[in-house]
Amino acid sequence: MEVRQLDAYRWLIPRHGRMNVDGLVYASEPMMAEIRSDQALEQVANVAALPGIVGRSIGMPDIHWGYGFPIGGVAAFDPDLGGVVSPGGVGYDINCGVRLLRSRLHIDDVRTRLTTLMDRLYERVPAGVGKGYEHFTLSDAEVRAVLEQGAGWAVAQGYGTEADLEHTEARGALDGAQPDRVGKRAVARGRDQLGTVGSGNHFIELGWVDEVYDDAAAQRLGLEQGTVTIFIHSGSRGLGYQVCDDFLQAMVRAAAEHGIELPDRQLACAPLDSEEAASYMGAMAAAANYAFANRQMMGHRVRSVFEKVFGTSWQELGIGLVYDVAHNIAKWERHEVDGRERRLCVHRKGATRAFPPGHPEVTPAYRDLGQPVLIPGDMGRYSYVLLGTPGAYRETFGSTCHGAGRRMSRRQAKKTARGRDLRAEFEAQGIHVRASSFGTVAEEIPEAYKDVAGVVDVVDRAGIGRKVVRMRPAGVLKG
Amino acid sequence: MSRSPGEPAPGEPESAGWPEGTTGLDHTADVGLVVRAPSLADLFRRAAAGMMALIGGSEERSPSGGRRAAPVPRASRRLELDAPDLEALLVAWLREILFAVQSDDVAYTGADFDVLCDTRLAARVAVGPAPQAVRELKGVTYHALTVRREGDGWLARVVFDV
Repeated sequence: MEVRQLDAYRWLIPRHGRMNVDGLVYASEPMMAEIRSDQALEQVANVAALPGIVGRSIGMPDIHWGYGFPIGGVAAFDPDLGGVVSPGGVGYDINCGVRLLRSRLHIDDVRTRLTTLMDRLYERVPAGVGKGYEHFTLSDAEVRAVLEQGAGWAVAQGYGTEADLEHTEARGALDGAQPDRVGKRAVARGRDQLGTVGSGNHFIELGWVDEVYDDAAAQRLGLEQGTVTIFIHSGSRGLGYQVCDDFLQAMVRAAAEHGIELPDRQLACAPLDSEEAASYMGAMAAAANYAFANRQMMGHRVRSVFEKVFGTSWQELGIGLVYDVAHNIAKWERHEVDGRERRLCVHRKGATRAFPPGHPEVTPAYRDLGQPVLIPGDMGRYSYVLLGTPGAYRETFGSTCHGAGRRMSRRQAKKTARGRDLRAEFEAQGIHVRASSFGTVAEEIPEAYKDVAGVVDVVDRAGIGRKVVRMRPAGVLKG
Repeated sequence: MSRSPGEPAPGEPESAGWPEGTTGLDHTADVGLVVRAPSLADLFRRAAAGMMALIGGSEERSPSGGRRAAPVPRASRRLELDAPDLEALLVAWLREILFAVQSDDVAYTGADFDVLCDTRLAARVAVGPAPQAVRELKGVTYHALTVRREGDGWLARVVFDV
């Protein structure tokens, strides 16, 4: 496949074959060499072949081989041009995303209590394969209320405050959620998993700000040097997986009925003006709301752990929400394409919205700053907070990267970790790890990921994100 | 250089400990299976057993490889599925078993097929005690999905989202 270098950080895949638009990938030269080693670029081209795609099929620097869409992919579809929605372009974990809390505590105030904090977190927040609550289960009616109200449901139950909603994308509830479009199987799977981490690459990470790139912005976000932070990475759990699964089957049929030829069946889709698409968008928004509520509940449980360990209220400790953002989602948004503003369905599969200062959809608390972008790295190195930029709005439908991006398969990672005492390695770096399975930790070792610093540098230098702070991990809770 | 789905990483031996006729498929983000069997019914049975190995991590716990004794079935349930083609039928089969594992806390232990053709199956599925899951499979994908004849037998490749 021809890949043409446009500048230091942009690579064009010229339109060819069944592609309707060009592909555009953001990467440094060494990164591109690695990206070429799997099938991510072919997947960018496959997405470009879907009907009604506009602009370009985009790959972020954390791009890697996914299923159907690449992970780290962005694509926008125009309903007036036969554009489609694809459940595979959102993924099984609908509204997988990140929540960042900050405190008034300095890392030096916390080091002596890290072991206790991590032990209490491990006891208080279920993590691991399929882990749910034994004594906190919802009725079907309550699950449906969560699907409708999102994070607002959790706040109404006492798990947080109005201020949390003001600092959550879309106030933690997407418009257009239709709980009645979510099937019985999905609802059943959602009954005992609200407020749980899950497994795989999901985590809760306690860390601190170790480098500040923009003092004024960092101060506004409450992220000054040494500030203790808590990252929560999770999504819609089994409920979301089931929604995706149910609709994928329906979309395979729909694509055939609408005469859509698929380069990969996992790209199954339906025209945005079809009944199948309306149904999926309603169910997807409902599952996204479950994910917002999930992270809201976990965030509040983290606060209660800090209260117990420090013997003072979370308000006194200043544990506030910086932001909560989705990175697996499809959203209706307005963007300019070919000189005309259009209403588009933007798919972000492992990509984060990065709207610029002044955009009406940026929460009023940050509208003059731009949308906070939360970029977790691997377990051993660092994570970042960025802000959205006009460049992202112009070039990438207001999107940027979402994380480090895997570079090793899980099998390779386990092979690399074999024979090593991972717990001791992390402890030697001052990182306290709690995990229900160290098999998961082996699959998630830092070497399995690209260096997130390189990923973030690419988006910063390409102008599709702006660095504010870097954080380092001190404690990690894994499934 | 791209690697085709289903091929082990260059220079790496295939993992020991997989159920008969199955082995892992290397994928950057997810996990997958390559399944070979003498008959279509065996292909479906082995694919389900391979999926259980991925969930239970048993492919890594049995260094000697080889076949393990099947657990004693505790119960069975009837399953009837339709799909547009054979590949979609394999996905439908695996997703039904995955749902049972994740929701009803059981393990697949075997199956008897009354009907198994390109677009339909009817089977009695034996289930046993739930495995200690070490890996969460979010879904059975259609990505790089293959079901085809290979020589006198059958070959399948399936990728699961993790």
